[in-house]
Amino acid sequence: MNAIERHVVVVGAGPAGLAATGEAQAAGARVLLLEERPVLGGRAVLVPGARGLTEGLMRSLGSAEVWRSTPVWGIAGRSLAVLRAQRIDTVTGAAVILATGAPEVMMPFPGWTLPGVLTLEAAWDAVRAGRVTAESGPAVVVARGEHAALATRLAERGLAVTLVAPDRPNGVPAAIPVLPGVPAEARGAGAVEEVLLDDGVAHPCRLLCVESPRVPAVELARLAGCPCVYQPLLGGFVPRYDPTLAVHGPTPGLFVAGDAAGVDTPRAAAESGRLAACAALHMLGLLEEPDAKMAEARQRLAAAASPLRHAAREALMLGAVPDEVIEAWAPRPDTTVCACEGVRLDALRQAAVAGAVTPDALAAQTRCGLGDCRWRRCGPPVIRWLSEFLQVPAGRVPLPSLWPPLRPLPLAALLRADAETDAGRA
Amino acid sequence: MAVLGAGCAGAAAAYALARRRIAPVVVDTSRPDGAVPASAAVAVQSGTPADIRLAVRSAERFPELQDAIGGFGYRRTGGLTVALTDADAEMGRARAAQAGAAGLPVAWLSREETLRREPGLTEHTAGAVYCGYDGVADPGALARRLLAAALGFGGATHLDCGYISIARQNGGFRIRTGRDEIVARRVVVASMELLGMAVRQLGAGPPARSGRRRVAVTERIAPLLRHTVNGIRQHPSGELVLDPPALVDEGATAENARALVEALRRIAAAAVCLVPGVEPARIIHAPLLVSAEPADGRPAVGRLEDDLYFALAGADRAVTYCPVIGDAIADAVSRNRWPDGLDIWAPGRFAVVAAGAGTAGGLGPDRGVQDSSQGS
Repeated sequence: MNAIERHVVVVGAGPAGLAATGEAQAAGARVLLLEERPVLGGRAVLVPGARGLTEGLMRSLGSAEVWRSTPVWGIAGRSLAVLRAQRIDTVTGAAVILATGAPEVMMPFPGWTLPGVLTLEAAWDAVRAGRVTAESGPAVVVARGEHAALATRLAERGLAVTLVAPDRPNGVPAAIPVLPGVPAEARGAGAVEEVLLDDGVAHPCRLLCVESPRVPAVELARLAGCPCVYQPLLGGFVPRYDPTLAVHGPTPGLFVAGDAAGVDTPRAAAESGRLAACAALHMLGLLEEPDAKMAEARQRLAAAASPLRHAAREALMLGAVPDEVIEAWAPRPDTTVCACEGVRLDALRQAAVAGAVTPDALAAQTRCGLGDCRWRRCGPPVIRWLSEFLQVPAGRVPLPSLWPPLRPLPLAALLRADAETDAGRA
Repeated sequence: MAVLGAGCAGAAAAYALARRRIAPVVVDTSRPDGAVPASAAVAVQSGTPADIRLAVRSAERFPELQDAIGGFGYRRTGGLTVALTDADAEMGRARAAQAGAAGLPVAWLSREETLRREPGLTEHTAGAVYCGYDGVADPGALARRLLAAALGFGGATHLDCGYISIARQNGGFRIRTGRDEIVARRVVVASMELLGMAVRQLGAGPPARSGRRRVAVTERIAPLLRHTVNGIRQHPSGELVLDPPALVDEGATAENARALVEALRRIAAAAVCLVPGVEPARIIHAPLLVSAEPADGRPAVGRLEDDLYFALAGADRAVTYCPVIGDAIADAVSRNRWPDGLDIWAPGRFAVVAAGAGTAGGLGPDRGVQDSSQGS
C-alpha cells in the first residue's frame, strides 16, 4: 500500500473536478485528480454544447497528475482509500474537493432491467467505446432538448432511430421520427426487443435509451461524516456547505463542487470547481490576493448558476427530466425496483405494510439495496416511493446506512497491498 | 410488564413471557432491522463448559422455535475451530477432550477428517475442534419473528419511540418514551444501552464495556463452505460473512484511511489463509459494528431489584443464548425460580457499581450504535 500525500486531491473529473484541478495546478499546488471511469469529462459528455468547455478544462489541467479508472472506496478525515490497477492506495490531501457528480438513476418501469435498456450516460459510454454499430439497432431514444443529441449520433452510426420527445428538438434531423409519450414497458426474452409507450403502441428496438433524473452522489461526504440535508432545489440530499463550498462536518478541509453540490449546468459546475479550489488554496495559504480571487470566483459562479428550471419539487432529482415525468412515475406492483437483488415493488409494499418503513428496514426484510451497487440505482426510487407510501416529504425518509467499501473491493487487491507492505518491511 | 430492548434477548423474553400469559410491552428506540444482512452464528464452542452447556440447550431449541414462530434463516451448519499449527492443534485437542469428558458434543477432528468434511479449507490445517450444534441464523429476522409471535399472544410493541426514560412510581415504574407513557409493575432491561439509561436513572447495574469490530460481507459466491469456520460463514444467499474472532479497533476518530485498509486487510488475510477459495471474491460492504456488553464479555441475566430484571446476552451471543435467556426471565417472573446452570451468569459476579459512578462504561444516550443483537 502506498500512502500518497498532495496539497489538493480532487475526486471526480467532470467539469467541476477538471476546473478545480486546473485552478489548483495553476496556483502551483501539488494536485491529484481521481476519476473512477477511464474517460474524463463526466456527464458533460451528454451535452454536445459543453464539449468546448470540457476540452478547454482538460487543456487547463497542464501537467496535473490524473489517475483514471481509480474509484475511491473509503474515506477517513481527508484521507481516501482508492482502488487503482487492482491495488489499494491511500491518498491524503491537505484539502479534498469532492466533485463526484450526479449520475443518472433510471426510474424503474416494467422491463427496465433488461439488457439493452440504458440511461443516456451508459448509452454515450457505449457509443464512445465503439460498442454501438448499425447492427445494435433499431434504437428508441427517450430524451428532450439538447440531450436528444444521442439520437442524432446513433443515426450517424447507421442505426434506425426513433426519438420519443414532446416535440422535435433543435438539430435533430428530419429523418428521425419523433413521437410523444413515455415508455410504459420494455419487453423481450433475454434482452429488450420492443418498448411499449404509454399510448399502448409497441415499437421494436434492441437499444432503449431513457433520459433519467440525476441524483447528487453524496456517499463519500456521508462516509466522511458530513451532514447531508434534503434540498429539493439542489436535487435531493446534498452535503451542508458554506458559501465557499467548504463542507460542514467533523473534518475541515473538505469541499464539494459541481453536481454533487447541486450546482446544475456544466458551466456553473466548472465555476463551482474553481471556487472550491480557490477556497482550498486560500486555506492552505497558496492563493495570492485571496480576497480579490475569492470574490471573483464567487461572482463568476453566481453569474453562471441559473436557478433550476423546475424549482421546489418534492422529488429527489436534479437536472433535465421535468417534474411531470417524475411525478407521473407509477411503477406497477410487479416492477423490479432493486435490480441487483431482483426485489419487486410488491415485496417492498408488503414489507412496508408490515412496518419496514425505512430503507434499512426494507433491506433487512427484502434484501433491497444489498447487492453490488449498494443502493446507487434503487436508493432514489425507494426513497421517493417511501415518501409517497408514508405521505411525508422525501427529506423525512432516512437515508440507508452506508459502509465502506463504496465499490466492490476484491480480497485479492487487499492481499496485494499486504505483499507490498511486507516487501517494504523486508 | 415492560421489556426494554427489542433485540434478540428482549424479543425472546417478550415471547417467553407472552406464552406464559404475561403480556409484555416491548419498548425500544429503534427496531430490529439491522442494516447488516449478516447471519449471526449460533456459536456454541466459545466459553467455559458451563457456557457451552447452556448454548447447547439453546441450540436444541432452534428447530422447534423456527417451526413455532416462522423462519429466521436458521441452519445447523456445524462449526469448526481450525488449528493451523501443531501448537494450536495440541490446544484444540485438549479443549475437545476436556469438553468431551464433561459430556459436551465437542470433538477433535484429525487433519484428514477435517479436510474431508470441509474441502474448502486450506491444506495446511492441523485439524479442528468440531461441534455439530453450531449454526447460523438471521438475528434481525429472529427478533422480528419473536416479537410478532409475542404480539400474537397479546403483547404490544413501542418501537422507534425516540427516547426512553424510566422512573420509580408507586412501587412500579413509569416509562416515558418519545410517544407514550407506559406504567409497568415489572421491567426487564434487555439492552446494554437501555440498561445504561436505567442505571443512570434508577440505581445500580453491572459494569459494561463497548467494543467495535469490522465485519466484511462478500458478494454472493458459489457454495464454498459447509460449516462455520473460525467465524467465517456462508449465508444461504451465497454471501460470505468474514467475522474475525479478534476485536479489531480502528479508533473512533481515525483520521487516516490506512486504519480502514489495515482492518480489511487483516480480515482478508485471515480468510484467504484459512479458505483459499475466497480470494477471487469481492467485499461488498464492511460495517463497523459497535456493541456493548457486560464488562467480562459474558451474558448477565438476573434480577437487579425486586421487580427490575435484566437479560444481557453480550455482543455476539445474543442469537446463541436468546431462547435460554427468554425462558429464564419468564420463569423468574412467573414462578420466581431460575433454571439450573444459569447462576454462572448471575450479576453477583460483578462488583455492582452505584449509579453515577460511570457504571454504563461511557455509553451515552446517543443511539448511534448498532444494536448488539444485530451484531454478528
